[in-house]
Amino acid sequence: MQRVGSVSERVCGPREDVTLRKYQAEIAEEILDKLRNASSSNVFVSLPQGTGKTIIALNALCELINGNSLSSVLILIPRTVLVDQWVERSQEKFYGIGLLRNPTLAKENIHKIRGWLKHGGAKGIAMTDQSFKGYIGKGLFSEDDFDLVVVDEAADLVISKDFVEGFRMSAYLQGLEKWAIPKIFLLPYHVPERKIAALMKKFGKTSQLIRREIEDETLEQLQYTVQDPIVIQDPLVDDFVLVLFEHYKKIRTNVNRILNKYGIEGYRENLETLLNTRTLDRFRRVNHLDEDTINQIVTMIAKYIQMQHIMRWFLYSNREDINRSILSAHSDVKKWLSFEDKKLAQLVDVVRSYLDQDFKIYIYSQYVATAKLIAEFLSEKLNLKSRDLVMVSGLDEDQYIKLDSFKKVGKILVATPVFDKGTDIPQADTIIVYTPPYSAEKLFQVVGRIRGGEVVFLAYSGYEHQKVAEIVGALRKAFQRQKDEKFGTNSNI
Amino acid sequence: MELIAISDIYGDIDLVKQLAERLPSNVVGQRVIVVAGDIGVSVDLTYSETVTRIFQILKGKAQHVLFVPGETDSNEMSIQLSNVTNLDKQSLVINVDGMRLGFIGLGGAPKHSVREGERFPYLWDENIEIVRQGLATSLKMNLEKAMLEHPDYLILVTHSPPYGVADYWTTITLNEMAVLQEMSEEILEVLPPEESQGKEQQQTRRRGSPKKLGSHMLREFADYYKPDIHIFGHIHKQGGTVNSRNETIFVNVSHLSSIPYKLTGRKFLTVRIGREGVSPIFGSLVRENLKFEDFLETYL
Repeated sequence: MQRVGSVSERVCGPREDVTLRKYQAEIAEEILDKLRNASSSNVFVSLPQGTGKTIIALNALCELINGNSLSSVLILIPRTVLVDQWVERSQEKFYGIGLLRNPTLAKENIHKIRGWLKHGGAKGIAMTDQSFKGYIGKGLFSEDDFDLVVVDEAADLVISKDFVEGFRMSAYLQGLEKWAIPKIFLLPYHVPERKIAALMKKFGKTSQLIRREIEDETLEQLQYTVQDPIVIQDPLVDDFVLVLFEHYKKIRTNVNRILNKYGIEGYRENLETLLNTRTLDRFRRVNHLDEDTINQIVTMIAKYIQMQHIMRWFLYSNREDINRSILSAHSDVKKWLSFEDKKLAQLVDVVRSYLDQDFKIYIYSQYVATAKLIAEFLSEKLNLKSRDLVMVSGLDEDQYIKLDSFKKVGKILVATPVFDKGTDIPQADTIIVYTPPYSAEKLFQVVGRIRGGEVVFLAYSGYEHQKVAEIVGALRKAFQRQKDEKFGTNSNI
Repeated sequence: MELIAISDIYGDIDLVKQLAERLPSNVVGQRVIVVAGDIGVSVDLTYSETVTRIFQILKGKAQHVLFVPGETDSNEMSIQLSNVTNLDKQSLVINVDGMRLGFIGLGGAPKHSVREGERFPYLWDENIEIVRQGLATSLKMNLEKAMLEHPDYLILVTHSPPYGVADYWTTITLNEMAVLQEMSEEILEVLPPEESQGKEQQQTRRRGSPKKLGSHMLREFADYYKPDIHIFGHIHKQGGTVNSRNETIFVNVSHLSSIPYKLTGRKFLTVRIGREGVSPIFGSLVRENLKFEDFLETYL
């Protein structure tokens, strides 16, 4: 263990009760070395979850402040809740590095914000990627206003599109790659190497990487137990889903046939990208597709998305939307809607058994509608007090306070992807993934929030069980690999 | 008695005929049909011919047909058919099947509920105080008039929803047109690259944060004067919602047309009204007993 400097000599540093781990101080120093060695450098830091990337970055920032090399930093984060987490951490763990919290243009005057930054003692601003787009798009801030940028959860800076167009910059942070001031990018270790390489390429030749596993006896080894999926018998759901899946496959085949006919490569991984107007324009110009064929593609993709969507309504208990759609008029669907939702009923039993063991439970849903439904259903069936269950979605402004309330007094947290990146929820003993995210990388991120514990999936027998069993297998392998490699995994799950 | 409510027909005469075929002829004298706006368009027929044809079909199936125009309709709609009444800024009390029903209506839609720059024949700007007051006064006067005849039930018919009730709207993007509902962020990540879409779409997206598009004036009116039923349309994605609050049953009856969303179209509301109370139930103009795969093939 090592302390970086003493409080009395420095204007910025860790608070007295904060002790940095040896590797944290070393990596902070390594970041500084890389920044010092090149006048305009981008440093990428890829470390396993739970190793304290924020603390490392804050420590590096403090050293720059102490060396009079930093007076204003811009911290960019993909989620509002993480802005709060950053600001709180900087205050709790460090002195001398006050950050402004995501000022909203609708509420605050830009001159006021500039004033606070210049004369109010703030050492920078922490804002969401979306806010960055707003400020820069309106020309209210530029790189001249900052000495350095930190991009947290930077893996999402580039989004995989297809192998023709490769990785593209996130729409929110577009333009950042042209900024000449130094930048520090923080990303989890499990991000695939090819993605990190694509990211570094976007930021030019001065990009340097610090990527490592951490072997530190003080670091708690996280233990995840991925349970076998809990299987729910409901033949009607399986029938609906199979029919929808067949339609979906048929559309895929037909679209592929058109793409093959015109010798168009790529796009098969994400057929949805074919709705992009620029892609369609290129098909017209380069591949000489006529208007009828273009319309045919658009209609098919629209239907393809719709099929996926309806499948999820059935699998993830979205009865409200089914009820309002024409599907509710179909005789079998009507019959199904007249029964209580078997998956929700099973969830009640699972949650009850964990509550009996005094577990705190995090229930993840990809969809707001499902999350609401879960929250209402559990509250009613388990006769919960309002403080027992906290539901958070992207629509809530007070996400951080709600999360804090779960950590302190709540028993159940039902949340949409608001906490999927970098938010710590170590208080939760178990995570129930009610609607899994689409990519393995996202699932790994979501599950990683609880810092060890039980991972539970529910699945209808048949089609869904088969799919979820594959997910469970992949997740177990990834955790095993992570265990073998101490912390972090070298490849994408 | 039976009240049938529909809205957002957009000139689809075929679906109106299908609806008429669904309605048993033996209870025509006990039935009222309410149309909550966005009735016609001009495609094969002129606008006026389309609307007249629609009301001719409906009037054969009910003792009274009452309507309000939507923002796509003319604000001076005049239908020269007996027992077909434009309720816009009007009131009407009728006796049906031993029940006395009082109706008051308001057509058009608030300007803030449509995309900026879109031109429609019948919009009002409730942010202009004098406009807001004028509309509220008209509703209050008509309410007073209707109440003089002591109706058993008071029914408010508007095209716009009241603010905060079945009026939630999310952005319309190319992909959303296809899928109707909120999409998961993962799909949006691959779909929308704003920078690669046309300027027009970019603008639509920028304005596209989810929001409530109903009328504040209507909300205040409903909260204070508490009609028994408030029937409206306009916000398609919330069609099929029945919401009871403050002693009023709010129903968003959009949309009968199969556009803009095939999944939520073909909808009509049946309300059974009796001394013992009111029971609303939605129906769909589809063949219910098709095999599920054929159902999807036919209607989606």
